[in-house]
Amino acid sequence: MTGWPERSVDVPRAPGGAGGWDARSEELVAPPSDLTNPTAPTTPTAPTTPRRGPADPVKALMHRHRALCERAVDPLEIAAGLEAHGVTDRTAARFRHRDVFALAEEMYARVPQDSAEWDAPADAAGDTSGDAAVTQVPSGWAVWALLPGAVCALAVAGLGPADGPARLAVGLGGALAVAAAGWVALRYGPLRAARPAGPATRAWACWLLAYALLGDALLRSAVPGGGPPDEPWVPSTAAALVLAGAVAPGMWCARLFAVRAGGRLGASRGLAEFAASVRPLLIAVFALFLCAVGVLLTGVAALPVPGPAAALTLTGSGALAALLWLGRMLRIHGSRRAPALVYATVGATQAAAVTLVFAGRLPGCEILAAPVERLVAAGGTGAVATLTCAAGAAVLLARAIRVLGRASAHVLGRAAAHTPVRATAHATAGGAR
Amino acid sequence: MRIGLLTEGGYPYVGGEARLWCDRLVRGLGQHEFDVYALSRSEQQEARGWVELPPQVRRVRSAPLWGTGGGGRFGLGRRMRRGFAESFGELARVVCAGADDSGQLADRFGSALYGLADLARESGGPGGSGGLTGALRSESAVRALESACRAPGAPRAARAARVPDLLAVAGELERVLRPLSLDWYGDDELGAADLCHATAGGAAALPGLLARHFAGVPLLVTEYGVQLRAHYRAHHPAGAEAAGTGGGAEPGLGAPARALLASFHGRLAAEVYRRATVITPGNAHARRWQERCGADRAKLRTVYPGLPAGRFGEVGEREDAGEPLTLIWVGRVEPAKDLISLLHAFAEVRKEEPKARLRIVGALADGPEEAAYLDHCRALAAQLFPDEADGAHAVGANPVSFEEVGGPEVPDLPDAYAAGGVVVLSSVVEGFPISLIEAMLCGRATVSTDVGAVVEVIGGTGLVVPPRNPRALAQACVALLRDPERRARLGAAARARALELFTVEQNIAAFNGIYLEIVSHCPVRREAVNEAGEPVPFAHPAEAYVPGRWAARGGTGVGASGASGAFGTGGVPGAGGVPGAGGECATGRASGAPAPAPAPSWAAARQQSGGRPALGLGLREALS
Repeated sequence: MTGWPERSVDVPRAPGGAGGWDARSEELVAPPSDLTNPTAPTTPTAPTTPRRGPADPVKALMHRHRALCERAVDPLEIAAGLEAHGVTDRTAARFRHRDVFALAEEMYARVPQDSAEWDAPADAAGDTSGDAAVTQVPSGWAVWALLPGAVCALAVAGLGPADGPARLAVGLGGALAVAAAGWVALRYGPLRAARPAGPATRAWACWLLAYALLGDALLRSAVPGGGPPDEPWVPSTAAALVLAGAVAPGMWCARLFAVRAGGRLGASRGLAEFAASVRPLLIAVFALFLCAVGVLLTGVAALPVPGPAAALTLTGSGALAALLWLGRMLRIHGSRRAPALVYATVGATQAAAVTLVFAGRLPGCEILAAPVERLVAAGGTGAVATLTCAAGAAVLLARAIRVLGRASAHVLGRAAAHTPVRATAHATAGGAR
Repeated sequence: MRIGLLTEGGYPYVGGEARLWCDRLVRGLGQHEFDVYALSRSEQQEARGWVELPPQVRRVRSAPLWGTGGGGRFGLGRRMRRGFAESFGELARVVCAGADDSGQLADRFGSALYGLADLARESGGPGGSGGLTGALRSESAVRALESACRAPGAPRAARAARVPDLLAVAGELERVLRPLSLDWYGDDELGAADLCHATAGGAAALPGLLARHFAGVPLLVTEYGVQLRAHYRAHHPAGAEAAGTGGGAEPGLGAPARALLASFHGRLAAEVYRRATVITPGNAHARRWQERCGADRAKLRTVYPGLPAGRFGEVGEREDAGEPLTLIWVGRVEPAKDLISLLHAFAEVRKEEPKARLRIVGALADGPEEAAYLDHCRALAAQLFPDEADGAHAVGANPVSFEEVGGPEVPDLPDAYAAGGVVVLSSVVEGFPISLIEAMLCGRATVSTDVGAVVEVIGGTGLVVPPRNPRALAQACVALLRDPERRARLGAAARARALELFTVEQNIAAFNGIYLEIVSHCPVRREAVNEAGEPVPFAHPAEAYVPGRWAARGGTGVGASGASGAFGTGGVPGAGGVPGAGGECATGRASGAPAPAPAPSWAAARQQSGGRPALGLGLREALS
């Protein structure tokens, strides 16, 4: 630590460093024996082999802290990092700077700033943030997704041989089991919503499900030309099978969308670019979900299922599955009002249809039931559910294309997953004790 | 007087930052009323509850700075949305504008911030959950950030920002700006305070800024660790690990996001320092950072943290100077303390003084890294120093012993200091060295390395050597071990210095003085109202509105000089005058008037004497 070569004075540096040369710093760069406290004994020790100083001490310092220098976004960050490594103003004086800030400014100015470093990390960081962007789901969710469908199939199979009270018990138990399985799958899978739904939304969703199961039989018994009279309170097991079975493709598609959208989030340069890339993705994933539901519908229609199973009933439950999936996707991404409104509208329309049909039985009010009866005559009892749910799904699709194209919606989706816990790095918070 | 104490992740929470200091302050200033406004940092912190609060804490309001922060997504109407777009767009443009010291950007930042605050206040209303939070989280905020980043003239960091960066920045802005949408600024809450005391910069001082904006309440900012610096450290995972203080730093923030956030926090800090009436850094290091971030030197008063002197003072009062040939090291064992260097230095000491012993009294290590370091140190000690015994028939022991406070040898921390003649500090990184102050209070001579605030603390009352220099450390230790008289002299000087500068009493007296000074200089002008809420004419004497120099011309010279004498313009803080003034103020408040007299007569006298009084805080001049 003998005096540095004079050349080091000429190194390029930030202007702030030039003025900081006073008598005190001069003292401090003096040989180490003067560095110690004046009260300390200055026993003459033969200095061990004099260490050769590098030609450019700041360069050596930068090499030692190169990770810090490369990462730093401004001189203050380098100053903070240097201080955490024990560099003080007195150390900085050895590098011929007034204080750590001036030293950090020189180091910041001397870091080779290639623009590639700024553009490149977006890819590297994009990968990591892409991973982080996707909400963590418990392992094995893909299998759990199959649970509602499997439970429902078992229950339906159990219904076949059973008779009388046993049939009722199997039906009730099956319904409970399917509800529980569906709740578990939705709660812990990728379809988990950021915030719980409001009571109104929940009530209308239940109404929609109930109508899908019971509505057709009810209409059939009420409308004169509705087909062969059936028992009005027997739920459609085929519709139940379709709805329970649609949970699995729904979860898979939601996961697919989340992963892909997370990837595009990292790769996009701007919001418009992101929207342009994620909207076709949403439509494609929705189409995939519709295909899966279509396959499910054909499969269920081919099965010998007990209970009413008209073709349009099944289409209605397929449309309902699409509606509920879109509503759930919207809620995952923070939009709660649109699904609530659409659920309420669709449910109210269905309720109005049933009410009108029954109101038509009153004397003098036949005219009220006329539109529903004409619709049922044209397309069967399932037409009401199919039409209302499809219209609702179309509205929600338009809304989802708008909302899910926003980058901020994808932050909301994962906000519930991890709450930000601030790192508290207080090297100097000595007053805390 | 009523003081709004603003904390973030701090005081009323168990395990909060700087809670002991706040607790002592609140308990020590029983003549004032305190309203605590606390921002919590995590769910765990909120779940652990509050510490026991003294009666002078009238009210505690808390709000979370974590999680998703409530609903209110549709709170803003059309006009509000336009106002939000304007204000937030301005804020984003300032944040993305890069470095500019002209002061114009600082003005724009301030006006944008207060624009948002006004908006939040309008949209909040009674029971409103604050539409601002939703708006800050909405797409329009992200879009405003994007357009600011793409604007011509934006620095490279802003231009390189991608969607994840924008989202990260928008999320952090929403989190930090959450105090804007709180309902803390009403006339019976922060608006009624005479003074806001923010115990940290950054988000904690934000409510103080707003109280100043809405109600003109003066703001006092105390920073023991500068918030901006902590921000840099928190966002630098590698550095945080190296410093051994790293929590879970946020992963994967890209360089553009970090640059924008650094710019925002820098601007926020500058705004806080600009609006604060007085800023009290805890040491010269914090002071330097504050000056660097734009704090006006005239506002800065260093107020050192205080330690309860009682426990350690007893040791200092004893005649017993400790075992003469024993060196003591006290602290938490971690790599930054450089025990290796200490052991090497002790090897040198043993060459000169074969009877010397070294006792390392360490707190329990936290992490695996610290435990490994302790094991490494033990192994090194065993290698360097073989066990030795008095005679052929005695059981030997190592001259270096590792002990823990609470064990049989060292039942209490003061006992650790009492055991030895010289206390050594060998750190390579140090903030504000508490153990050094404890040693000083115990009246022990010290040898320490020149890091952090050591020189500032020790003054000339101990030996200081460069860090990472075992030979120098050893020489200083030997010099002290051989000279008991010098040891006693240095110890007494250190004790006197610590008792004057680093006790709880001086800390509290300093803050009390600063409170009174602020209230006298910057009284909150409030309209006096009676019980029915109607304005009372002539409630304040006309002199209250008159500048001090005019009042003085009226011949109140005697009273003025008396008051200024009571205050004292320098020297020892709290020398009798300040508590009396505090009592006067408290009784004035307790008499039931909802609004205080804006400028008491002694305030006018204070102004008359011209300039700001040094108020007994001339401590820093004594330091190198």
